[in-house]
Formats: sequence, C-alpha cells, structure tokens
Amino acid sequence: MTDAAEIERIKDHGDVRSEEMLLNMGPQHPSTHGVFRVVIRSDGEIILDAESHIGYLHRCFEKICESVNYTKATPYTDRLDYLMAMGNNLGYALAVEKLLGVEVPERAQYIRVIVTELSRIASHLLAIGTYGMDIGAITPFLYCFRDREKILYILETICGQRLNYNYVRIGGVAYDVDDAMLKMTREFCDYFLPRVMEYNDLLTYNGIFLERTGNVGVLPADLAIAYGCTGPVLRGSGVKRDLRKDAPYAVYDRFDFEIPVGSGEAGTVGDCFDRYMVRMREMIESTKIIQQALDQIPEGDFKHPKVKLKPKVPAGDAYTAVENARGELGFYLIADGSDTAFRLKCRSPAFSNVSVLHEISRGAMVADMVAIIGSLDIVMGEIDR
Amino acid sequence: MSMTPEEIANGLKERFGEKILETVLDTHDPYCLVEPQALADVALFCRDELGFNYLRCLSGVDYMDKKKTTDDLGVVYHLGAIPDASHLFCLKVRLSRENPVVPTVARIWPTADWHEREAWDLVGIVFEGHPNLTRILCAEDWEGHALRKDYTSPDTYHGIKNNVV
Amino acid sequence: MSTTTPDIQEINFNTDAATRDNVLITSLDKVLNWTRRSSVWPMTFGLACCAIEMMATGASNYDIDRFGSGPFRATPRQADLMIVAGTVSLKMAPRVKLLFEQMPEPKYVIAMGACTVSGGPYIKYGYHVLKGVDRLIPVDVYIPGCPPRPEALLEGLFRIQEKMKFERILDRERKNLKPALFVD
Repeated sequence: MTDAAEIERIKDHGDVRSEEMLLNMGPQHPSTHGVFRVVIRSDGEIILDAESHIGYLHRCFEKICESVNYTKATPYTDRLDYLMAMGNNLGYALAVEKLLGVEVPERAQYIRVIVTELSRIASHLLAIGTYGMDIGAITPFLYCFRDREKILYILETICGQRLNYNYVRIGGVAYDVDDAMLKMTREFCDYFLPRVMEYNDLLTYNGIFLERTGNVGVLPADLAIAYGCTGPVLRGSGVKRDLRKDAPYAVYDRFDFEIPVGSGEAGTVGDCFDRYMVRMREMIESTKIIQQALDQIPEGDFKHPKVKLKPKVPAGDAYTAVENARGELGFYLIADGSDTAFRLKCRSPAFSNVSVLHEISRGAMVADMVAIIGSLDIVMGEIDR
Repeated sequence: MSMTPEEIANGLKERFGEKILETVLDTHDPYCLVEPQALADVALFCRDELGFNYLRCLSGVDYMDKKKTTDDLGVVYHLGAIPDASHLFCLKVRLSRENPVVPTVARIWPTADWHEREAWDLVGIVFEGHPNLTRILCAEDWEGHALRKDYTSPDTYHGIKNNVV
Repeated sequence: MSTTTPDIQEINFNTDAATRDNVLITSLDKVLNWTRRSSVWPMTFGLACCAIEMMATGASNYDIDRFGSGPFRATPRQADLMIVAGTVSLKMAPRVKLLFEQMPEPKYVIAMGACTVSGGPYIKYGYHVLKGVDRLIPVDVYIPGCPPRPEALLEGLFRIQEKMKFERILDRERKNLKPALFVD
C-alpha cells in the first residue's frame, strides 16, 4: 500500500502533467460478484480514492421479517448470503430459539454442524474459483465447481434444493438425515482432502497468482477491527477470532479444529493472498469438523417436540451471532409476544467487510481493484439485504 | 480483562451520573439506556477506558407498536471486543419521532459510518456530525423511511408500476 | 429482395464434381438463423442467487458450451441474449433497461427465476423490488424456480434457439420494444 506522501511523489514526477480521472466500475461488471458499484478516482493507474455504492439488490429483508411469521421468514434468510444458506438458517433459528428458550436435541445439533460446514466448504470453493477467474485463471473455476456440485448433490438429497435450502428450522431441522447421506458425506470428505492439494498446485503457488495477490490490498489488524471486519478478512490480518471457538454455539465446542490466520507468506500480513489462504485452510478444518461430527452423531430426535409450527415468541430482545463463511452474522431480534417479529436487524459480515474497501485500495493500481474486491469475497445478497 | 456487566454499568454510572437513564442487567443483552446527547462521550469512554474496540451491530428501531402506546424511535449499539469474545455490553438511546437526532459514533468506530447511513435510510434517524449522511440501500431519490411502522410503499417509481396488479 | 426467386432450372448442377458436392440450396433466413442459434452469446448479468446457478450452468458439470452458447460476454454490445438472473430492485431497474437498449438487434431476454418472472417471494412486502422484469423490458422465455436448476436454464436456452429458427432477417420491427406495463 502506498501512503499519502508516496502518492504525492508519484503525482509530482517532473514535467509530466497528470490529471485525476473518475472511473465508474459497476453495477454491471463481471468482477464485482453481483451488483456492486465503486467509483474510482485515479491518477493514471494509481487509485487515489474509491467510493462504494451499494443497495442495487436491496430486497427489503427486514421489512418482510416484520410482516410474516417466524417460520415463514426462514426462507428469506436463505436469500441473504445465498452461498452459505445453511449458516443463515442456523443463525436465524438460534436467534429465535434464544428468545423461545428451547434447547435443540443433540442429533439436530450435529446435523446442523454437518450441513453448515458442508455449506461453508461450498462457499469457499466458489470464492476461490471465482477469485482465480478474477485474476485471470479460468481452470480453477471449473475444478472448484466440479467439487461444489458434489456438495450440492448431498444437500439436495436431504432437502431437495441446490441453493436456498430452508432446512435448518426453528427448533431443529426440517427432515432427518439417513445413513445413505451420512455415508455419502464421509466419502466426500475422503475425496475432498487430496483435492485441496490439487488446488494448491493449480493456483496457490502459481507465480503470476503470487505476484497479483502478494502485498496487494494490505489490511492492518487495527484497521480491520475498527471497521468491524470479521471472518477470513479479519483472520487474514493475523487476528485469531472465530466465534465457533470463542463463543461456541451448536456443538462446536466438542470438535478439535484449528483457526487458520494469515502469516504473510507472500509478503505482508493481511494482503490478498493471506485472505485467500485462510479460506483454503478453513476448508481443510471444516472437513475435519465434519468427519468428527460423523463419528459422534447420536440417534434421537431431529427437532424439538414442543416447538410449534407458528411459535409465539415471548417479548424480549437478543443479539445472536454465528460464524458464517464471511464472518460474524448477527441477528438482533426484538419480539413482542406475537408470532411475528417486531424488529429483526441483520448484521451482515460482508457489509462491514466491504466498507473497508476505500481504505485498502488507496494507492493500489486500478487492476488490483479486482483482486482486492475478490479477496473480500462479497455477496451482494447480504450486503444489501 | 473481561468485566462483568455490573462492573461496566457501575463504571458508566460513576463517570456519567444521571446521563445514564436506566440500567437493565437481567436480560439477554445487559444494557444501559443513555441520554441521546451524551452518547458520543459514553461511546468514546467505552472504547478507550472499557476496552470495547469493536462495534458489533448498530440497529435503528421504530418502537411504535400496534396499540400506539409509544411512538419513539431508538438506536441500539452492541459493543464487543476483539479478540476477547466474552466482553460484551449494549447501549440504547430513545429518540422522539419528531426530532430523532443522536450524535454520530462514526469517528469512534469507523464501521458505524455505513450502519448509521443504513439507520438513516431505513428508519430515518439523524446522526449529527456524520461525514456523509445519505441513503445507502434505497435509491437516492427514494421517499420515506421503509422500516417505520407507518410506512406505505409507493405505487410507482419513475413511471414503473410497483404495486401488485 | 424484390426480385423473384432465381429459376433453379437455369443452374446446371452436373457441370463438375466440385459444384455438385459443395453447393447446397436453402433460404437466407435459414442459414442466418442456423448460424445465430449455434452461437448464442449471453451477457454476464448476474444479479442475485440465480447468478450462481447461471455460473453452475457454465461450469464443468452442466457445461452450456455443449449447446453452442459458451462465451459469456461482459459487455452488452457483444451479446445476443440477456439472462436476467436474480431480483431486479427499483434502484437497479434503470440500469437494466439501459443495458438492454445497448444490446444490438436481434436480442433476446430470458427471465430466470421467480423474482424476474413476477417478483417471486418479494411480491407482497418487497417495496424496493421490481415485480417482474417484463414491466421493464420485453421477455422471450420465462424460467420459474427459486433458483431454477441448471437443467431448467438449459431448457430455456433451447426454447430461445427454437425461437431463433423462425426469425425473419429483414423484418426489423420484430418486437414492440415498449412493454405493455411500462407507463410514460
């Protein structure tokens, strides 16, 4: 990253006259992963400032949650972060269960962990694949989608949908899983671990990739915390924070797994490569969690017998957070005793993550903008809600 | 380093006296109700003295219920710390519907910048001193604040029919 | 094309072997439609969840290239087909219309997913959601589903190709560009 003095030096290079230019990127741009718009003020190739514009996919999630009952709102949470819909379902279900005061049966907890981690792997696979494509490598995208389809197939067998599952419900899960699905998941884990090495061979240690991502878009840890960044973006800056470990929900405290953090392998701690590498390592950890959960999963109920289809939630308010693929997904729920939420605020991780964009892109080249946006792994569905 | 909610609330009361209007500890998220004009000072104290370096969530709320017992607006601040995940507290302010003004905390936690713009856009709360208080989610020329309980959505927008035929 | 069809009798096809083996008589419409539907260039226009399924359609398992519709173009000026994949919000609506107008004729539109068909799950309470993209631009094929499976998108592509078969090349006023519900 270049600081202000360096920008002045570059601008002041002898007799060459330079002018500032405004460059509009988006909302229809292939590398913005949706409808994200950023207006870049540049001097030649150097970005002086970047202004983000969001809201092109504002789908009124919070208003809808105030209008329909708790159970009917679950499908809308799928469509927040549509790459990791299981995690959203889980966060919402936990928020309502916290106010309801119910404890979900053990088997349901394990099923939740398995499907959430599968979903996390699928999300990271897509993030890595499209990141490669943003940088200029098409092939990893095809490899990642090949394995992603296997996960989608497993999830499809338990709930019939490929993307927006509506599977984790208030009080448990929608349907029980059978042995065939568990066997399929186990086979997938065995299949998947060697594949990570394949991605590393394909993309990670490629010279061009290292050049494009190392030392680019460096996000210092204190800046990341001040801007409320969470998830791989924060961990890429070397901060060890993961709600699955720090404030365990479901049954995450029973598993043995590591929290990968960025270590500056390709240059500085907190650059694009570190954020990418955290995702790569998290996939291995998620696979480990799934394997342990498969070993431990008990028999029993898959949903709480007392939770009704239209639960009446006692009045009160609570903030519940889960660790999603992009970071801390929080739901602040105010209930008024009826079967409809009084207010549901969704604190989406990508919303905070992308708000740091103008800080880390300052001083970078215009071409690096694509690398930086890709490394933040934004999903417009949950930024705009 | 982690403090109990009682210690945090006592620390705030000791420092700010009657600016802390109400303290509720036996709930899911223990909170202090703060006088709106003192909020920026309280927030700065929380960050610098109490170690809340991370603003988890900022929610604008319209408290008007169906029986219209109150028509207040409010803002809820969920504070946290990184990496200490158990260090949590919550601040609340209540604002009148006619004049919903509260000092900004965007300079204390930069993440509040966008959250406050969202609260302005959807609930219509004015954050005094905010560097760029414009609409963030809805279109620039949108009318009204969608998350107010008395909001009705427009029939057309730029000539596009928006109601269900 | 004011002249009458050339008299086939006048051409002697048996003069030499090269002509006999290489000349094929058909109508201009058929040839152009055949070329057009064999290389449909869709525009990369992902808006929301459906865009992920559109990417899956282009990726390894479903491989839209098999059906002659591979290259997703980033600019509307190089595209024949606009796959509106995802919810169109009112903030995005003017941009969608602009992008459609930038596409060269003849152009086709697939409305992919429930949101673009009718507003989908957001039809009742979604104050900021366009209730169906056909209020804005003319749509050729509707694909329901939330999101539709990649197979459904492929089927939609086949329908577009079917439609392309019966195109009249010189009939420029093929479409009424003003959609029925667009006031103003």
